[in-house]
Amino acid sequence: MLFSGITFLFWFLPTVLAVYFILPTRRGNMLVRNTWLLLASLVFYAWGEPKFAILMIAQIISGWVFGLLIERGRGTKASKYALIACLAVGLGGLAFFKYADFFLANLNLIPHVDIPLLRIALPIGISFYTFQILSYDIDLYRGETAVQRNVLTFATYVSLFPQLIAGPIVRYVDVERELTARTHSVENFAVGTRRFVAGLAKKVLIANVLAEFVALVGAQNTTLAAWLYAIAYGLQIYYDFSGYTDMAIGLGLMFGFKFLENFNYPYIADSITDFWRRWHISLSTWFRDYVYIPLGGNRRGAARQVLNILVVWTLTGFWHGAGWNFILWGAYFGVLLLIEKFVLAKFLDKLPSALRHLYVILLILVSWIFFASTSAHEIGARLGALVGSGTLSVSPPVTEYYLRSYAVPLVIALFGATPLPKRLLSHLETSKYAPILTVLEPLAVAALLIVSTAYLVDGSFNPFIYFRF
Amino acid sequence: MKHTKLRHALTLGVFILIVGGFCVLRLVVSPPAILSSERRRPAKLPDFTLSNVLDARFTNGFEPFAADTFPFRETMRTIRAKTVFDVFRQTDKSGLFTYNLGGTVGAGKFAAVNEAEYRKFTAKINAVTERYLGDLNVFYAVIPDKSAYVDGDYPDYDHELAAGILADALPKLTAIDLYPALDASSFYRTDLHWDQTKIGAVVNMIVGSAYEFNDTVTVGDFRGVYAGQIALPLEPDAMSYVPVPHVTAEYLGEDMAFHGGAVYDLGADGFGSVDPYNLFLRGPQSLIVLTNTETDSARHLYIFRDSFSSSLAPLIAETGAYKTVTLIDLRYIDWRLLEQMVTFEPNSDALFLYGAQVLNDASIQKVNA
Repeated sequence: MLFSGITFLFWFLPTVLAVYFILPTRRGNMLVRNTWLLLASLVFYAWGEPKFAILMIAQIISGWVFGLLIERGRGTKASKYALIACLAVGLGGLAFFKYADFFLANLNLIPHVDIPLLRIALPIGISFYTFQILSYDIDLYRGETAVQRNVLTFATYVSLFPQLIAGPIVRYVDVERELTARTHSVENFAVGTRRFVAGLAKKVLIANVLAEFVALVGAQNTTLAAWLYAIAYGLQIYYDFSGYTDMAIGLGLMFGFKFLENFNYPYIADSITDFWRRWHISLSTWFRDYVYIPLGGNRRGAARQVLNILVVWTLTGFWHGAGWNFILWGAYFGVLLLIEKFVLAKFLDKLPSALRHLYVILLILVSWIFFASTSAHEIGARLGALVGSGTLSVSPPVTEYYLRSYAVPLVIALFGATPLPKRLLSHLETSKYAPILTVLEPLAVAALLIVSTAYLVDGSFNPFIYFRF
Repeated sequence: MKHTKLRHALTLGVFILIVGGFCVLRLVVSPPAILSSERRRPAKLPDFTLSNVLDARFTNGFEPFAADTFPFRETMRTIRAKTVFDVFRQTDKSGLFTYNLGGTVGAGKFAAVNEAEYRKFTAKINAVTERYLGDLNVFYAVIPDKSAYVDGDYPDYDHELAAGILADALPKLTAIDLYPALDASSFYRTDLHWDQTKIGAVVNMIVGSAYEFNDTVTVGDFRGVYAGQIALPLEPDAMSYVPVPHVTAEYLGEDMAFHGGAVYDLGADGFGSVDPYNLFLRGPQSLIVLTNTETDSARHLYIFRDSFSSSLAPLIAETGAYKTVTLIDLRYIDWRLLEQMVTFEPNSDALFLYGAQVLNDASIQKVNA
C-alpha cells in the first residue's frame, strides 16, 4: 500500500487512527495499542504482496529469537555464535530474495555456464526491515540496548507501517522507550499532520510531476534534454524519497513516535562528504556504525581506511539494487570521497562557496545518471549527451516546449530543495505577523491535502522510486 | 503560545475533517453507474475471496475502485486540471492542451507524427490493396489533426512530414490532400472529430464536385472526448447534422446479414449513448453500405476508415457521385474475411481515410500484414 494512495488516505489511515485512539492505555501500557499497530502494519504490508508478509514475520521471529539467544549467552561464545547466525539468516534472506538472480546472471556470463534464473519478485522493503532487525541484534550484542522479551513489541518495532517499506531505517535504540511508553498530544498530532501533508504534496505535486518531465525529456536526444533529465531526475528522487520520509516522520508523530531525520537539504552541500551527511542519513550512519567502524574505520592506517571506504560505498551502492549500475554508483562515491579526503580537502576549503556548490551539484547530477540507467550503453549515451556527443541537436523546439511547460514546477522544486522556505516560515513565526499562521497553516494543509487527493483521484503517475530497494 | 495552540487545533481539525469527511462520504454517497465525462464504467471492487486476496488481485484492484468511486470525483479532476493550468502554468495536461477559438476555449491533444507507426500502418494498407483492390482506383488521405490548425507551440501534427512519409510508403496509391479544405473551426472544440456541418469542402475535394450542403439540424449540446479528458468546464459544442434525404444505410449485424437502419441515430445507441458522436452511423460498426436512392451513377466507393468517416460518408453518398458507399472498419472485422462480405467491383474507387491520431497507433488496425 502506498501512503500516496486513496486506499491509504481515506480507508486505511482513518480506520487505524480511529481504533488506535479508542483503544485503552491502562496506566500508560502500550501493549493493546501496539498490538493494533502490529495488526495494521501486517495488513499494510500484506496489501501489496500477501505471501511476502510470511517472509517478514519469519525474519522478525528469527531476529527476536536470536536476540534472546544473544542475551542468554552473554559473556560466552554462544552470544557471538547467535549473532553470526542472526547475520547469516538476515543477510542470507536479503541475498536470496534480492540478489540471487543478479549473481546467477553474472555466473552465466562464464562460458558453458547456464544456470536458470530464479525470477523471484523482490519483497517490498526487505532491505529496510532486514537492516532494522540487524541493528537491534548487533546493538544487543554490543550491550548498547536491552533485550526485548515481548515478541509483539519487537514485531511492532520492525513492522511499524510508517517506516516499514521505505525507511527511514529506525534503530531499535532510538524507539525503545517509545515502544513501551509514549505520549500523545494535540501538538504532536498537529505537527505530524503538517509534516505528513507536506510530504504527500512533495511526492504527489512535485515528484510525480517531475517524473512526467523526466520521462518526456529522457526520450529526447538533445544536449539540453540530457541536462534537463539529470537535473529533473535529481530533484524527482529527492522529492520522492524525502517526501516519503516526511510522511513517515509525520505518521510516527501522530502515533507518538519520533523518528530521526533522514534528509537535511542535501543539494546545498559544499562537498561530497557533506552531501552524504545530508542524504539518506539513516543509511549512511547505518553503514558507518555497522560496517565501516567494525572494519577498522580510520584506526588501522591509511591503506586500510581506503579499502574500508571503498568496501562500504560499494556495499551502499549494492544495497540500492541488484545491478552493476548501483555498484558503480556506490563505488563512484567511494572514489570521490577518497579524492576529497586525501587530495581535494584543503583546495576545496579555499574555493568560493558558489564554486564548491557547483562542484557538488555537477558530480551529483552525474551520479544520478549511473543510478537511473539500466545498462552501460545507457550510461554512456546519457553522459555523452551532456557534452553533445551523439545528440541530434543542442536544443530543439520540442525540448524547449517541455521546459517551458514544466518551468514552474521546476522552479518550485529548486526553491523547495533549499532551506529558504523553512527560514521564511521560522522568520514569520517569530515576527509580529505570527498570528497569521494560525489561519494560514490550516488553510495550507487543507489546500495541499485536497489538491494532492485530486491528483490521486485523477490517476496520475505514482510510483515510489525507493520501493525497489 | 495561545496562537500556537489554536493553530495546532485548527490544523488537526482540518485534517480530521477532510480525511474523516471523505471517509464517511464514500460510505454514504452512491458512486455513479457510468463516469460519463470519461465514457466508461467505474472500476469494480474485486470479489473478496481467499484466492483473490492471496494472489493480490483483490488489493491490486482496490485502488482503481477507490479512485473511481471517490466522492465528487469530477470536481476533484477539475481541481487537478486547474492546478495544472492555472497554478503550475503548464501548457498541457498529459498531452491535452487548450486553445482559444474566437473567444471560446477548446481542447486538443498532441499528435506529433510517429513515423514508425505510420510505416507499420502503411504496410497494412499495401497488404489490403494488393489482396483486394488490384482492379480499383485506390486513393488515400490523412485527416490532419486539429492541433495543426490552432495557435500554440505544441508538439503538434506536421502535415508535410506526414504527407512525405505516406507518399514514400504508398507509391501505388493516389494522395488526396485534405489540409487546405479544413481549418480550426472545422473541428469540434471539445472533441477530436470534425463537425459534419463544416466539411463540405472535404466532400467536394474527394468526389470532385461542387455540391452545397445548406440545411443543418441541431440536436443538442455535445461535450466531446477532450472535454472529459481535460476535466475543465469547457463550453459545449452544438451537435448538428446535415440531412441526407437520398441516402439509406444498411449495417452488418451479428448474424452476418445486412439490416437497414437510420443514417443519423438520435436514440440510445446514437446521440443518447455515452459518445454522442455515435449519432453518425451508430458509431463503431464493422461494415456499412450507404446507398443513394436517386442517383443515376453506377459507381461504387469503398472507404477503409475510422470514426471520422461516420460523419463524412453520408455527405459523399448524398452528392450522388456514387451509387453505393461501403464503409469498412478493419478494427472490427478480420480483413481475411472481407471477401465473404464485400464484393469489390472492378473500376470502382477505394479510399483509405484515417485521422492522424489513428495513423499514430498502427496496433489498433487488426491487419496481419
